Amino acid sequence: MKRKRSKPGILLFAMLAAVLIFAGCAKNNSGSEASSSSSPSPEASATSSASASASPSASTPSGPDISKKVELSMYLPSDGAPDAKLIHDELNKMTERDINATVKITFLSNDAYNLMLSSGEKFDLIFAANYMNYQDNARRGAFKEITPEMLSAYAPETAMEDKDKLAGGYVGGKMFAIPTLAASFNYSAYVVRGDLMKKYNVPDIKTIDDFGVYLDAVAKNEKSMIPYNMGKNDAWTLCALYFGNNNLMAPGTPNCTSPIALKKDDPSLQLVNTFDLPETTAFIKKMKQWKDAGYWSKNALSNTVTLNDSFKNGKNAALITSIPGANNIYNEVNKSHPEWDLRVYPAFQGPIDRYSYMAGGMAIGAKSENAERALMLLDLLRYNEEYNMLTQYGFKGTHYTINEKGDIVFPADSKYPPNAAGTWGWTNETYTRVFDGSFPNYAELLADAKARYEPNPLVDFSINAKEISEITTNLSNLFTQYAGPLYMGFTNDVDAGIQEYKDKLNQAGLAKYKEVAQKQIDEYLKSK
Amino acid sequence: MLFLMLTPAVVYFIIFHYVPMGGVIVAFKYFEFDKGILHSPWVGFKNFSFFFESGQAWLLTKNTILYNLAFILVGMVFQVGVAILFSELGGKRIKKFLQSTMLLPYFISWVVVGSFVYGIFNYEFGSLNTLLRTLGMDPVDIYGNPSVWFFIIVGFYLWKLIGYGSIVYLAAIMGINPELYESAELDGANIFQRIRYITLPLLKVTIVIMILLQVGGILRGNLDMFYQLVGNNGLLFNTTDVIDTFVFRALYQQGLDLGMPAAAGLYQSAVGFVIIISLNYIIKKVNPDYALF
Repeated sequence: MKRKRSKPGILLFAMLAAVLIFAGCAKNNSGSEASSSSSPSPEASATSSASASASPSASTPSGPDISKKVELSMYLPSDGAPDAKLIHDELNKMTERDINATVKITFLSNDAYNLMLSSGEKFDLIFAANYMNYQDNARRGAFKEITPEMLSAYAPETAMEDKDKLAGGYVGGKMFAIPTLAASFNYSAYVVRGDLMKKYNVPDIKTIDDFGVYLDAVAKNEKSMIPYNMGKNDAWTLCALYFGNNNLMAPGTPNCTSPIALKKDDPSLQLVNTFDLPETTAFIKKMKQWKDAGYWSKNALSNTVTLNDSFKNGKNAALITSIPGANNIYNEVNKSHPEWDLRVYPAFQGPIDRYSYMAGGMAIGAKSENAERALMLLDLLRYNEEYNMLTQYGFKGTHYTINEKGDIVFPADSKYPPNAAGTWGWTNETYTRVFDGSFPNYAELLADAKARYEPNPLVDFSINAKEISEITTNLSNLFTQYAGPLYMGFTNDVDAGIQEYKDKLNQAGLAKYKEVAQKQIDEYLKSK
Repeated sequence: MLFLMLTPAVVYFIIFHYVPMGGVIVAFKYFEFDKGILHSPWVGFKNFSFFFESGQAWLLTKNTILYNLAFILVGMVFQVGVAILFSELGGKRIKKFLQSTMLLPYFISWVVVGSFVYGIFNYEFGSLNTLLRTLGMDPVDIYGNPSVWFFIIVGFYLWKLIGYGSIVYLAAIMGINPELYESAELDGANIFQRIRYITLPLLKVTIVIMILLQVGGILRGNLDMFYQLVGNNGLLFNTTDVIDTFVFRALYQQGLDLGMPAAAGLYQSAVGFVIIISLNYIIKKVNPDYALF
């Protein structure tokens, strides 16, 4: 071991280090100055266009100025599709013709999405959705505000849209994104195997208990199957079942993992602690019975195989999923195993909730220099049938055909399958077709969802967690540690388990969270 | 000339270790995308509160330290033992073969290890329970039993890292003058006496330095390992949750808040820094030859 270093050596080393540190800093500074001074034109043009857009109606009545050709950048979280390049080329021909712009679309993963926002990169358009923390990202300055003036000048069709359909795009009274034009309902369905139902004489499924009868028949008779073979992240399917059947909703979160909830039939919209409700205890007791009866594995919490995958492999007998989710699995399984005779039954009783339209949408980057052209492109993608059909479904004849019923048909191994190319940000119900090969009662369930839908004044509300972020962080962690296992029945004593969870929640500041949420809800309702 | 050769390493450390250290200020800020790290508003110690107000801070710190102590101490014993075994082993070919076998687990990803741990301990179809059932015994519910996980985790850690960790000790043993062993042999010392009175005393410096190096990271959990072995199984958290997994889980769902993970990382580094400085100080007092600096 060389224990002794020479004093001058250390000194020299330190000096070298110091020099390099300072050199590094200096270079950094001069570098950023150089880049900002060498490219003054875009910033200047941005400020001039901003001032122009502030008073567009007065100065430019004849439509926006598109004489300068621009290239827009668009980021979509998706794995992409093999033929996406062809579609994008065709799209570029159209945008060049209509708005003198081209658009470069880049696919990225969800993790890269977050990193890109935090890096402060310059971009024009990006997908945004409340399940991807749209509101929080907007509050942190990731997106450019879309003012009413900008909207009416550059996206006139969107500007004329129903207030209700745009409401999801507002955060703190300002619009940062334009939501999709497709309503999706919080409507779950059981997907079960008709062949097993017939074999064991299981009656039609109407309630949770009927579902239990089916699971029981499978547990007792099909030894190679686990009736509801949950994976480690599937606890929410059970709490969704509970919320959906008890007319509960969580404020400002799209799912049931919240420890506070609103009873939708309570006109005062007062928040309650979910785990104070006797219904919760009763539900969890039932889930414990189900778990003890072997309806799911003792190690479900560590099982990495999802419900869907084990269902497709014939190891799992049931799913709880949305209508589109049921349709996807039906499409897939009905081809490989028509003998399974899949059946789909509604899983929620009572009124049905709609998700915010902000379940998908498009936002403009905070540093975008072409916001006007980006808005013009969005208006085309959203409302122009040619643009919408091309981006959503590809080339007619190659990627899809329309059959005599008016349903859309996709070839077996399509190189531009639907819902693959990240185009969820501008879905428009008007142009959305029913897929050929949908499950038999698909239309019936959709109609049922619409019929039972009850408008909900808080659908677009989201909690501003800036002041209580440490509490929300810990609450979501406690769900994983305590509530998830409880909903899956993993406890020896339900009452004691619930009490332990409640104690932890109180320690983590549930009372304050509830108070802040209630205050924000009241303010939101007042301002509406 | 020597300093010139040092330059690449120095530059590397400055660019990738010293300059990013400035980013530590983000732990005291409310990060905003358009303002960046430098211009985001200060929030004092708010980012630290999620960790200390979770009610889990003590448990997590305790778990992290206990696991790391087990890894360091038990690991050291096994690594030194294996190194001595290999150094005394005759037969070149069998030695090479055994050494490679020991080293191999190091290159297996924890993701893979995690999936075969599940394959072994799975209640319904796992190989352990299948074996127990064929032997007519009752199956065991490993994934519902938090207390066994300490042993499972330490066991797999050892399995994976003994071979790799023993290389340093083996190299140190190879550096021992063979004349010492020869003269000991002539004096009639048997193999155990030679290990006890020659190998171990000469390994002491290496052992102390290796321990010191690892102690600096005593508040860092091996996220890879813990997350792949335990995952989101809340039932096991009380015995398996370490700071890194807690922070990862807490912030994974929250979108990208740079402040809170930075705060947790700063806490880990600060405590690790204090521990290593004080330990080094103590060792220097006792025997200056063993200290790191």
